[in-house]
Amino acid sequence: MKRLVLIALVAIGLALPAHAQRVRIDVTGAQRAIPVAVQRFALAEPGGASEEFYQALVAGLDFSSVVRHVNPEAFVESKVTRDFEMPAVPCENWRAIGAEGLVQGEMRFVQNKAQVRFRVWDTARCRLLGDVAFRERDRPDLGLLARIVADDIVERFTGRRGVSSTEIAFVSDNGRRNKEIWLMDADGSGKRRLTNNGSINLFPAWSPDGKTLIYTSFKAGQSELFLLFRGNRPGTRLINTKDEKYRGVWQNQDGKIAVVVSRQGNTDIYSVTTNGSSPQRLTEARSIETSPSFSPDGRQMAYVSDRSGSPQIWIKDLDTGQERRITFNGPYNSSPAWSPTGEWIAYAAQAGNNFDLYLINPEGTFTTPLVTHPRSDEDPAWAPDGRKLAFTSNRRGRKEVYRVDVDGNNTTLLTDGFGNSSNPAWSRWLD
Amino acid sequence: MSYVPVESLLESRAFRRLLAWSVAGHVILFGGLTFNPFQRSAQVFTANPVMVSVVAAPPAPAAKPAAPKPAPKAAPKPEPKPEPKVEPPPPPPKPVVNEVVIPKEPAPLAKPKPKPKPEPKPKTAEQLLAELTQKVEAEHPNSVPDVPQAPVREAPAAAAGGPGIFDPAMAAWQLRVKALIHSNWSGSQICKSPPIFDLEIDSAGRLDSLALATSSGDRYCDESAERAVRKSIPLPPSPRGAIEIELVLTPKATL
Repeated sequence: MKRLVLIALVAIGLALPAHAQRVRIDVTGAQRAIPVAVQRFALAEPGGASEEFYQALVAGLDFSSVVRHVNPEAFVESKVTRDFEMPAVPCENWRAIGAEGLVQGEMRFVQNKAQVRFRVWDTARCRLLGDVAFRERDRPDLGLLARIVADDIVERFTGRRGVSSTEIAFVSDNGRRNKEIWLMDADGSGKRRLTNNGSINLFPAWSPDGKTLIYTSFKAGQSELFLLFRGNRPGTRLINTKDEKYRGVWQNQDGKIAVVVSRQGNTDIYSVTTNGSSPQRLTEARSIETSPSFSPDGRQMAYVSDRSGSPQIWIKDLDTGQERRITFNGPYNSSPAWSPTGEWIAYAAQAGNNFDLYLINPEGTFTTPLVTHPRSDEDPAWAPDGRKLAFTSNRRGRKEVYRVDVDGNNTTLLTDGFGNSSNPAWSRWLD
Repeated sequence: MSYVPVESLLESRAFRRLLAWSVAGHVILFGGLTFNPFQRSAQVFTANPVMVSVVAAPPAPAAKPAAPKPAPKAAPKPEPKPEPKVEPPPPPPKPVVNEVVIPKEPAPLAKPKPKPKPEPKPKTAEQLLAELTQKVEAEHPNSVPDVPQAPVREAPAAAAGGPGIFDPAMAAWQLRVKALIHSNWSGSQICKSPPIFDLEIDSAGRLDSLALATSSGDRYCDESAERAVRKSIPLPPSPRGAIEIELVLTPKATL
């Protein structure tokens, strides 16, 4: 009997699986922002500024489209930072409300400075993302300080800084006859005029360090290039020649500027220093070459040339001098803008009587639509993170400046009620 | 050596007791090997049409064999057999019973009478699973779908979607896990290529181990995917108990 039972048990044991089985599961992600809880920063002294700071901070997070703030009404824990120095936080209570991250901080005012310290938790893995960070700004710039902190937080989760603290220069008539250069925050708020000469001012372009703006102005009669410096330093005329200069853009960190010049009826692109000296011709063809835009390393230049019979996008390798055409579809392709990541060149392509925005890779092998609307969309300008662009559209009748994510989502009007606006130029970060 | 007649042996009380023990032992052994659930788990479903009762699936083609009744019984018999009836396809919005035909294997039971109209090609288990997955994700993009359990059957050893083998209980479980992790993955748009994780899950759905098998090449992408996994724990218990998962998290095609 015992033997029989033993045999039966052995038979059953052999039938049992030796180890857990293995399956493969494929999950495709969705376009969804990372939910992050933000505790209001603890004030070292009463001042009432924390709420203003908090609102600007969460707006800066939401602006990113990649990170979003969790409604504090859902918090199980305190809405205000109480345990900033504690080595741990109750991650499970933050996970329970769906938060994948937690921001804690404290703020204090020292003379005219607002100072913040903050840290960022990954609550799903219950660990700190980076060290405690410190930021300070003049007290009146509390909103800017909050947006800088928001951009830092976005970087902790995605590896790329947010751009809520950046600015966009643009051209607007503001309902009048002249066109001036204006500046606004990246969310469209805080518009302020940079030029006030009563003339026509066009094509603002930022220096790589974000401290200087070059623009074209007719204030001296013909089109000339001028510089604007942050900090109220007066502008200067760039190139002192009799040739007409249409537009200037910075080439790279060396301070060289590519200038579109019309000389004896032939429009070409030249490279000059900021004081206009040492001009070097970048394009040699007899056709019209214009709209230069440089790769992030400054070694290649995208531009428009009509040497093939119609305006198309070309790329010139500045080391070897080799040129190649990258757009072949459509009768008119213009306004190339090389992304800060180097992956894409945005451009405007004619479709019927209007223009649409497209992205093409620098090899010219892949093109995808970015903004297609029955009215015209032009002048693409990249944000410094490469995740957003500003552009001009006349979809509401007059020209206005819009913003869009690189995937074509979240199109937002930035210059509502501001007359005809165009030529956006997105700044780099201010620090 | 001497021979004893059978009649005299049967009259022997000791022999009768020994014979009774022997018969009882054989019955126990035969019963144990036949009705042992673990033994059956190694059984492979081959030619039997199997039923999948997972959300709104495409209606069954009219002329396919063996459409069982929609309502799954709570305690089905150990060896459910397909019914050779041909039923009209149920209306699309309601959960319907679909059938999976393994084309390479001949049907063991009587086939239904062929209908005159041309019939679409029977879908493989892989195709049907892919269709169901797409449908579930389309209908429940942001939430965990309430995927009904497939009719309770003994789990076969092979994974759902294996070559020529289909396990409805495992398929339903995989769909639930997939939808759960999908709903918990935020920030996938920062990824350019898929990270792959190896998970060991115990019979209660808890995480025994989690390892990044293949990085996406972007630390922040890997972290976002790991957060999605950790947020999804505990997983629904697998029909097979403890299980290892190779989890591939593919980002949505973005720029």
